[in-house]
Amino acid sequence: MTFRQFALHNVFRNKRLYVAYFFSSMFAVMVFFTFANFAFHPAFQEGDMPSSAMKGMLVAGGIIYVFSFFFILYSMSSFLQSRKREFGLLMLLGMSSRQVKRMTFIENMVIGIFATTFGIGFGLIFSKVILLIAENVLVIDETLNFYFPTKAILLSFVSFVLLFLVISFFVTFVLRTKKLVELIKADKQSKGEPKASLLLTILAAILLIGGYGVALYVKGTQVVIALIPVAIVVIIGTYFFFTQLSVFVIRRLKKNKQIFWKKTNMLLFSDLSFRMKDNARTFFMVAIISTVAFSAIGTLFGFRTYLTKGIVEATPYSIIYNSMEGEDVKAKINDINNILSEENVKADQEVIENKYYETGVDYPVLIVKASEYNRLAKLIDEDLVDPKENQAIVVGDHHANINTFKNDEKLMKTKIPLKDGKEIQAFSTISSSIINEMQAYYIINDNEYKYLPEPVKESTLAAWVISNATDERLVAVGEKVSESFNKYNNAFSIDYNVYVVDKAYGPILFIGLFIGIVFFVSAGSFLYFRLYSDLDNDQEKFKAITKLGLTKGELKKVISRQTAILFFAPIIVALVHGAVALTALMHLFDYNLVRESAIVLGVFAFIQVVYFFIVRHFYTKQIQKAL
Amino acid sequence: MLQVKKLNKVYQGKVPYRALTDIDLEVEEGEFVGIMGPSGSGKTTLLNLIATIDEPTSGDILIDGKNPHLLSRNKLAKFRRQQLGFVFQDFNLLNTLTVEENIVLPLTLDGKRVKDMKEKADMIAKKLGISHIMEKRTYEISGGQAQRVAVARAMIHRPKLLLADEPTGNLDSKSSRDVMEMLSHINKQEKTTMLLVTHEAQAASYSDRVIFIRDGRLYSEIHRGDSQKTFFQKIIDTLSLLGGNDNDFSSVRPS
Repeated sequence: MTFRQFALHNVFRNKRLYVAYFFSSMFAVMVFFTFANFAFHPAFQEGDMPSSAMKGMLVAGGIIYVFSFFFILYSMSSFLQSRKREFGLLMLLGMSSRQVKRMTFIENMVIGIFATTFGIGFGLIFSKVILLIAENVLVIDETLNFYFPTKAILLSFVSFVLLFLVISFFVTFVLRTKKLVELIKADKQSKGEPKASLLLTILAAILLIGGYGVALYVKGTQVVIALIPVAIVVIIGTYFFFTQLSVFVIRRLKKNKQIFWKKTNMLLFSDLSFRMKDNARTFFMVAIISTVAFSAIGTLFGFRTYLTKGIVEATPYSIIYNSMEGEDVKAKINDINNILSEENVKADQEVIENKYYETGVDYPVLIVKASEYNRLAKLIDEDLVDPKENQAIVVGDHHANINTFKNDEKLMKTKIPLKDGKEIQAFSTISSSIINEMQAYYIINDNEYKYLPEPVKESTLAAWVISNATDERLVAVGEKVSESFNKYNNAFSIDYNVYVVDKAYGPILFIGLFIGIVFFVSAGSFLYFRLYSDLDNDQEKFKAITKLGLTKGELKKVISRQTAILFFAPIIVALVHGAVALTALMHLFDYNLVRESAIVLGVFAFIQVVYFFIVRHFYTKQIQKAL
Repeated sequence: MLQVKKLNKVYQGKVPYRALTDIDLEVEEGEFVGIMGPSGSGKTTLLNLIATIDEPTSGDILIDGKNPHLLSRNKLAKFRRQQLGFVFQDFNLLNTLTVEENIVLPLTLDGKRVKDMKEKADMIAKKLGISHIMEKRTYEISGGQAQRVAVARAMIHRPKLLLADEPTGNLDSKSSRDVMEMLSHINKQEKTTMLLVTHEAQAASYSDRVIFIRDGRLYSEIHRGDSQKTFFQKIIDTLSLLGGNDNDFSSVRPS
C-alpha cells in the first residue's frame, strides 16, 4: 500500500462520510453548468439580446461562481471538522502535516473531479428541464433547442477543477491546529455554547430595528441610496440575532426546570444547546441566502408587474389611435380596421374628436363633451358621467404623468368662458384613464359644449376593444399596427406592448428566477448538511435513550421538533426580511405590490414546508433504522 | 533510555487544574514499566506527554537524550513514526482500511517499498497469529483480534519505545492475557522498551517494575522478583495501601 493508495482507499471505502460533501459539490457544479449552458445557448448568443441582459448574465454567472466557492468551502470545512479525530490518530502514527495536506489534497481532487463530471452530466439533464420551463414561462422569440454545449462543459470543468484546487489549499487553514490531544478528543468535546452578551443582544435589536426602520421609512429614489447600508446593518443584526438571542432563549429555558424537565423537552433543548454554535451559523447563512432569494425574485416579479400593469392601466383599450396634425384620419382608422379584418379579429370601435381650448392656464386644455366621454366609457364598461349645466367635471392628471404640477387644482380655480359671455365653473374632480390625456381636462354638459369658442387644436381619438381573440392573434395585430404607424408611433396595441416588455425582461426575469431558485435550494442543502452531519450522534443518542424506554411516538416528536426548529427558525426570519425588503421596493416604485410579494413569499414558505416534511420523513427513518 | 525530569502539567481553564507535579522517572533500555494509579491520578496524562500527544507545562522529557517536544512539526512526525509505537484501549484502527493496511500504515507514511512492507507485515502477523484475518476490515474482527492488530501496527517499524494506554481495558480476561503475554514476549525478544498504563493488577504483573501515581505525584514503585504470582500479590497490596475506591481496581474492568 503506497501513500496514494492509502488516500484513495480512504475515500472509496468510506463513502457514507464523503457522500454528503460529494453531493454538495456536485450540486454546485450542476447549478453553475446549467447556468453556463443557458448563457452560451446559441439563441442568446446570436439572438437580438439586449447587451444589458448579456451583462446581467455575466454578473449572475460570477455571483453563482463566487457563491459556489463559499458553499464548497463551507461543506469541506464541516466535512473536515467531523474527521478531526481521524487526523489526530494519523498524526499520532507519525503522519507529517505535509502528508496530511497531501492526503486531503488527493481526496479533494478525487471528489472534485468526480463531482465536476457528474455535476455536468446531471446538469445536462437538468438544463433540458430548465430550458423547457423557460420556453413556456417566458417570452423568448428564439426556440431554446437542446444543444450539445461544448463551451459550457469546458468552462464548467476548468472553473471547477480550478476551484477545487484552490479550495484544497485552504485545507491548511482548516487544519491549522492545535495540539494533538484536541484533535484526538475532538468528537468528545462540545463545541461549546457561544456566550450571550447583553451588549451584543441589545446591539442586535438596535441594528435590526434601525435597519427595518430606515428601510420602511425611505421613499422613492432614497431607497436605492439606503439599500446597501441597510443590507449591511441587517446582515450584522441577523448574525447577532441568531448567535446571541438563541443562546439567551435556550439558557432561559434550561434554567426553568418546569419546562426543561418536562417530558422530552430535556432531550430537545440539551441537544440544541450542544449544537448551538453550528446551528447559529447555519441559521444565519440560511436566513441571509433565503432573503436574497426572496428579494431577487420578488423584485423582478414586482418590477414586471409594475411595468405591464402600468401599460394596461394607462390605456384600457386593445388598440388606441391619436391622430397627428395633417394626417388623413379616416384612412388611418381604415388601416387599423383592415388589419383587424385581415387577422380575422372582431372589435368594437369608438371615435371621438378631442378639442383643445385656451382657458387661461399654461397649456391648451382639452374639453370633452359628456356624451363622447360616455361613449368611450361604455366601450370598456366604466362609470358614466353626467355633468349638470354650469358644472364642469375636472379629470385629474393621468397617473402615468410623473410630474407634480397638480393641474386639476388649477382647472378647479379657472372658469371656462363661453361664446355667449357665460362662464362654466368646475364642480368636482374625478380620476379616470378613459381618455389617454396626460394633463388634466374638463368634461362638460352637451348643451353648453355648443357655445365653446374656436378650439386651438384638434385631434381624433379612436379606440378599439377586441372581445375574444387568442393572445397570439392580439400580438400579431399589435405588431402589424405598430409597423404601419411607425412614423409617429401614435397607434398602439396594449397586448403587443406588454408582449414587448415581457420579451425584453424575459431573460432578466429568467436570470433572477434562476438565481433565486439556486439560492433557495442551496439554503435547503445547508440545512440538510447540518442535519446529516449530526446523524451519527443522533443515532447513538436515541439508541441509548430507547434502551431507557422511549416510545416511537415520542421519538418522532423529538426528531420532528428538532428538525422543525432547524427548518423554520431561519426561514421565518428570512420571510420577515423579505417582506421588509419588498415593502421598501413598493416605496421605490410607489406602486402596490402586496399581492405579488405575498405570492412570492407564500410560495417559498410552502416549498419550505414540503421540504421539511420530506426531510423529516427520511431522517426519522434513518434514525429508526439504527435502533 | 527515557528520562523524565521535574515534569509538571497544568490544564488551563477557568479553574486551572494541576494534573502532574514534579514527576521524575527513568526507564532503562529494554525495560517494561507499568504505571498504575486511581482514576484521575494523571497516569494517562503522563503517557500522553511522553507520547508527544500533549505538551508539558514545565520539565523535560528525554528519549535517548533528546527532547522530542523541541522538534519541529515535521521532524516530530518522523520521530513518531520511526521511534514510537502506540496501543490504545479502544484500538483506534482506521475502519476504512483492511487489517493488513492498518498494520503497514506507519511504514506507508514513511514511504517504504511495497515489497518490504508486505514482508514485514506477513512476518509480524504470523508471530501474532493474525495471518488469517489480514484481508478483513476492522469491523469484521473481534476485540482481542483488533488489539493484536493494533500491537502489530505499533511494532511493525520496530520502535524504540512502545506506549500502551489500557490495552486490556476493553478485552475479556482471556484476550487480556493473550495480549499481555504477546507484549511481554515482544519486550523480551526485540528488547523494545515499553510503558504500560493500566488499571489491572493482572496486566501490570507482566512488567518488570510498576510505578504508582496518586494525585499527580509519584507514590511508590515496586520491582518484580522472580515470580509473577508474588509480584501480582505485591501490586494488590500496594493498591490497597494507595487507597481510593476499591472499584477502581477490579481485575476485569466492568464495561
